[in-house]
Amino acid sequence: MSVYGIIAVGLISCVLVLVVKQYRPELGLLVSIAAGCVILLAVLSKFTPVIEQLKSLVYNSGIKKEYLSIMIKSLGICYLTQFASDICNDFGQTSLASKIELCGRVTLAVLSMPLMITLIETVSKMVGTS
Amino acid sequence: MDVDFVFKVAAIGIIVAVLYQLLDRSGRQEQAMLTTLAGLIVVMLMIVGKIGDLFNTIKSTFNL
Repeated sequence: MSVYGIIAVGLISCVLVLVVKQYRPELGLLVSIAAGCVILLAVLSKFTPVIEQLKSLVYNSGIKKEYLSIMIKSLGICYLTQFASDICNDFGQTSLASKIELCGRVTLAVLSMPLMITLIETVSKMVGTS
Repeated sequence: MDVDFVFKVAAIGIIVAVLYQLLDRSGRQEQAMLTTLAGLIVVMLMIVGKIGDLFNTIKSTFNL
């Protein structure tokens, strides 16, 4: 699916959401969720080769592969929390949306803790305080 | 890419709206309400499957 196709799907589903929302507001929101799922599924299938390329690049350069996997994981968590909080915003529940975003931030902090510890240890070794 | 899915959901929405109007005009408010509820549940079941698909794809793509 090219960019043009995704743009077309987005515009058409905008019109459909508006039409359905007039009569049944709750079903209109569900149409928008469906369109979001379809578009994201179409984009994600294109993303796999990029990650494979990145992985082979990092493996060849000698960087530890755990670092890259943490980065890719946090990217996935970002996409998921953004998707969910956007849906909550569409439903008008801004407080729920911000809580989901907070949850994503906490998960990212927990995930990147080992990296932070490694960084701090490296710096303190260089400075010579440890 | 299944654009058909979006069309399906929108079509169910429009059909439910028409049925609601018809039943409401003929004085069967409670049946109209039940039709709306049924449509909502059907659409939600469809979308839950799709969201599960999306989550599985993200999981396998990003090694979560």
